[in-house]
Amino acid sequence: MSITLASAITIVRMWTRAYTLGMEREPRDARRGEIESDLWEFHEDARLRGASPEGIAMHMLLRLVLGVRNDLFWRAEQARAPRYIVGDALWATAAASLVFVWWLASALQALEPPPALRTGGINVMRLLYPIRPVPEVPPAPPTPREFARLSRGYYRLHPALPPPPPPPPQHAWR
Amino acid sequence: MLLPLELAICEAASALRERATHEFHGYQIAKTIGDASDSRLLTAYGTLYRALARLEKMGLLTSRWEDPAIPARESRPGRRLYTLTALGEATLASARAREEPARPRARRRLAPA
Repeated sequence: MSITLASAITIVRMWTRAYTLGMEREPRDARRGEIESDLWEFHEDARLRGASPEGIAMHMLLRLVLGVRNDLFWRAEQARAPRYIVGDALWATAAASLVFVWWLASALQALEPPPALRTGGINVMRLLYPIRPVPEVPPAPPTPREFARLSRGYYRLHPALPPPPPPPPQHAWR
Repeated sequence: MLLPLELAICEAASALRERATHEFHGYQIAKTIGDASDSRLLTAYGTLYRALARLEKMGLLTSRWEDPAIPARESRPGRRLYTLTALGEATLASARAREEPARPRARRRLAPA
């Protein structure tokens, strides 16, 4: 199981434990059990359909985030709390989530990523506009005069170089 | 008066029953609803299970936990199995009759192949 998928499952479990905390045993265990079963069934089904672990994780997190409001209302119904308390709790959760995300981003920036996760940064503009880079034009060959000047300079810098070998003997036709 | 999701759950339960699946678990119903609506994203956990709890409270569904020996044998978590009650079927039938002109397409998709 990939780190992303394991993290997503852990986040869903943690959230379920958080909003069922302090409830009576029966409804608490029932809700936790149902979510656990759903996570397993979804994971198995998606895996058999060939979905990537990252895709499964993203789907799980989306299902979690989109249901947070109803989780809190359900919790309030269980506790018979007035709706305005749920509204306040919702705002508090949103604010706490923003602070948490900000803190997490700051903490992750300070960490050295493990080699497996060390990749180049994603260039968003390149993803949006996948323009091919212009191929580099090779430099033009030197003119004969430049070549002679460069060769003279070379032999001036390296005088110890042996002279070039003589040309092979020409065989005369008999 | 049922909410759209509650109605969709009852429709999906009825469709599963027509396919000889009398008891269903939460993920199964989410998948059936997703397939029927051509949605790639399944119903959110909180939304789905809150609606299921409400339907059970209204008496349209009943639920039981499966025998613990089965998940233990299959190495998976236990399932909470729901069943559409007679009251649920009657409520669904009256909702269908009320919304007949507006919802023929969705029901056709849920019908067994």
